[in-house]
Amino acid sequence: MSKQRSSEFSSSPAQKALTEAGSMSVFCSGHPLEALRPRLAAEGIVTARDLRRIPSGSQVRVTGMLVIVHTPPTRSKKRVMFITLEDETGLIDLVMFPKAQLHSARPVLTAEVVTVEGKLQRQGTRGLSISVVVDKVIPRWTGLLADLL
Amino acid sequence: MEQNETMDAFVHLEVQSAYSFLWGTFNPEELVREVAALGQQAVALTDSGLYGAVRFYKAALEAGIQPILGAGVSIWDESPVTLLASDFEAYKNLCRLVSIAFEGGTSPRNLITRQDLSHWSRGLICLAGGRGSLIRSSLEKGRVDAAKYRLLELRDTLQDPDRLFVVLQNHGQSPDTSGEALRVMGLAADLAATLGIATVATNLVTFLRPEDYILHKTLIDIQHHHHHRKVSPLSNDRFSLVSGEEMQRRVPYPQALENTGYIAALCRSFSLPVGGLHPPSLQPPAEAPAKLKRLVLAEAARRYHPVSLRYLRRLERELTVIEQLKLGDFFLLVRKVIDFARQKGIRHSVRGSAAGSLVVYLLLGGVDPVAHNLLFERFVNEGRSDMPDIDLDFDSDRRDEVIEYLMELFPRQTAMVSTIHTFKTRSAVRLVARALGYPLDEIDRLATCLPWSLRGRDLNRALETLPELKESPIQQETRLIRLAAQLTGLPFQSSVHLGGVIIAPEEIRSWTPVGTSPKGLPVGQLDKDDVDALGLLKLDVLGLRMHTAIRKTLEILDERGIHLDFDRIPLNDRKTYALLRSTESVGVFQLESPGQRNLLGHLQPRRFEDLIAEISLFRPGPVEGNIVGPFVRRRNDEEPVRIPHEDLLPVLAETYGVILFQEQVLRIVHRFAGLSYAEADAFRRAMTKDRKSQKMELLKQRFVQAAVEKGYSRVVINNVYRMVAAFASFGFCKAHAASFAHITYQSAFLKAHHPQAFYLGLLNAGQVGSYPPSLILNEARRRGIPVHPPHINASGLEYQPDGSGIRVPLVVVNGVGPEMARRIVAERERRGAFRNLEDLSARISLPDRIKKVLIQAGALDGLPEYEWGLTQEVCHV
Repeated sequence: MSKQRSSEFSSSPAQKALTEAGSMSVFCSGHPLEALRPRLAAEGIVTARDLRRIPSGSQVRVTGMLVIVHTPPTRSKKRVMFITLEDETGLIDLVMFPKAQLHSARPVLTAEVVTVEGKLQRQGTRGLSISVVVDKVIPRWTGLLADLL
Repeated sequence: MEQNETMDAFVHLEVQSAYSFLWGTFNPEELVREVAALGQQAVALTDSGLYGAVRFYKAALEAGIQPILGAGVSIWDESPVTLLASDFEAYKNLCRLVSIAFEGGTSPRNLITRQDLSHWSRGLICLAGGRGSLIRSSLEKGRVDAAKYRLLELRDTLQDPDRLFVVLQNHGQSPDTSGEALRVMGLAADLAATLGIATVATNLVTFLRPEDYILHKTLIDIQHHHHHRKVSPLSNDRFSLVSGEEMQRRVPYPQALENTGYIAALCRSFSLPVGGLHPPSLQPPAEAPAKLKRLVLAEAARRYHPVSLRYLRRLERELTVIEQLKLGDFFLLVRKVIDFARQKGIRHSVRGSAAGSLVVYLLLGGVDPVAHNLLFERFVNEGRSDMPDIDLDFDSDRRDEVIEYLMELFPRQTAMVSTIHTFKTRSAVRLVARALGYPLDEIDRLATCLPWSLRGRDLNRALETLPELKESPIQQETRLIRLAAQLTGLPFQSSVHLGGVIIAPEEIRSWTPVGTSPKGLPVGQLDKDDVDALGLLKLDVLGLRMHTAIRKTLEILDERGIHLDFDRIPLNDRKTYALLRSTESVGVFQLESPGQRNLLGHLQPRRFEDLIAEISLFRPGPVEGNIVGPFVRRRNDEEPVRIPHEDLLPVLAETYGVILFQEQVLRIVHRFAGLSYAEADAFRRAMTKDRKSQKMELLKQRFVQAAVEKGYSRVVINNVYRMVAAFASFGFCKAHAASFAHITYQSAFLKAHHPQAFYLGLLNAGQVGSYPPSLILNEARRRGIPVHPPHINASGLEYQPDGSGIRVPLVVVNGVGPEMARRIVAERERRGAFRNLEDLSARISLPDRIKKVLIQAGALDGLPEYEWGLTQEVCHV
């Protein structure tokens, strides 16, 4: 009989994340995107932490797990979607205006992990009011899961 | 019966609205509109409870229709009867009887006994023998004697036997069924005549138009599929609101038709006491002001050494108004509640405009309104005739103790406020789809991307305009869409308000029927608007999860020997503001949303006043009023501060010349135009509620005239008026913001100084804010706090400290519920740590799938290696 330890079931960060996703409601060993960062970085995708140093106005790509989507009332009565993603380095706040919603509202409302392309806005005296104005949203979870496996 | 008392128009006396939940198909306002359109003068509402009574009463009066309040109840032989209140005393009796029907639940479940009806029927008009009654079924079977017996029994029971009426109905659709109805009607009319009992024609109105019958049937189908209830729909579409002419055709008994008007006339003197105040009396009225004054002055002397003239003047002003409005009793009651919470160590705070009162501060705690420039008159002033609200927040886990205390304090006078849930878009679609027999996975597919509720647009418009719904399969479901759209907004079910407690001036069952909540608390049939309309005292005893989180954090710190005098910590802690300026505010009360984090980046708070502004700015009003941009730009010196006149500098300087707070509107009107605060508050409310009203125009004239008299130029007056008019309806209550800002500061202080304990407090307090536990844990890990997986030998029932890290509880493991986790922890505490999987299996009976998932989650990591063979067997590795 083999005497494999349980930790061997989840030895790599990717496997750990996958095992945790299947067995618990929280992630203990780390954020699941941590394991995918090399792959994401290779695609030119930056992190929440990176956004704090990239110049405002830059075109960026970010990937994160969807946390919340808000559609508060606006002065213009047009729907603006405020979306929060989370990657392993922090929260990423997105703003999606009606034009982008035409093709990207559905993935935001249905996917668990998305990659977002958009324009970085850093405002405030220290540039800490950070948001990405969404151009395009791509649902990712299925493909990323395949990567984990 | 005197003919001259009768009205010639027909009056519907048996009407069941959507407050007969999942049965009736219309709101009271729609009923009133349709009745008016038919030219009828009066109408009754006779649901199974009185949930819609106040709403109906107000709507009817507004439309010039006479409202008749009643209810349908089931009596001892299971027959339905309709009871109508002829006056307010009769209404009280009706409330008692409906309470009996609802006792033990929140829907009618009990029969009214003969004794009950005999005891509480004075002033009530009783309509008997209609659809579903034993009188009618006896007549249908030709058993006239049985019908006679039941009718006499009922007449003998009533205190006003001459107010018993035999109902004549004809809901028959086909010639056959209508013929049968006419036959039974004849028997009923003859029997009534023999016994000297009057008859009355009714139609059991359940939908307003025949075409709404489908809605009724859909609601019944929802009862079948959603609630698994056995209930039959009405047989056809004749149960609608029809004209008197149509009723003449259906019920060819002129006297019975005329009697509808006669009954309406009997009820004409009925009125609900809306508009007045009906607080409970706790002590002799003359004693309250002196007692309150003593208490407040003693508290002031304890807090301030010495009490400055400024504070004494403010107290004098507040106490005078409180005495004028006879509110002393109310304040003392709230103090009593807070005394109880203090004795029991239950964290609490005051929210809303009440936090602007120095008396409230001294009695109940919070932030010093004088130091923070808060205005008493936004809370209470001589011009207010309504009952002021003092909303209290308590530690969510312990809030019920406070409610129970109130119930014990006034054992027969209290009940919880009820809340009526209406069909929301998404739930309507799901329920209708289920009623139509769609399988669950199909329902999920159809409802994907549908918003839970639609702001300002109906379902059809949403389907046309929302891009995520463009290719949704629901677009093809025209029938489903039509039905769901029609149901949206209708009352769906009643439940218990989160914390509203009514305290009536006498037995509560005289004011509203009272049922029993699932927790066993008495719950009335008045929602918060009804309570306000009736002028009853309502205390909002709310649960605030952040209080729970803070308590749990402090408990952890206490265990470590860190004892904070938390409610007195200075409000100028540098580390706390530094944390907020970093925008890392996840978990901080009120400041963790994306919008607030963004605003923190702009505002960069450095003092408590900044937190008050921050909380006030990110609100629908200021956002809609375009207040945020100018405020931020002016604060950051990117735009000049403009104030229309130097006299307004003391009012507007704190917000860089923009009107952010409602209190500022009052102050401007008071200071600039010299109007009293009572007038200023009326001005603010008129601007908020109905800007086109005549009242508003009069107030404007008064403002301009008064300002002219004070010597201001027309140009300045117009500028100030334009500013006030533009922003009055968008401002936020500063006192409320200040009260919340205190909790914001406290939570930020804990996060800045004791992050591990704070995260644990958050995680163990339930859903505190917007973010799930996984996100809190991710943030903790990012801040260098290790997160340890659940473990059978280390995890407890909650998240707990583990060195400098956080140990996750067993309940996060899929399939391990609180009960299973309790068994594992109890066994470990009783007989020591588990040695291996075999030991665990021997001591606790666990399904294999749970053992497998525990292993996968790492809950057995580190146990002796030689046992892992079994682990593999379990896992089939």
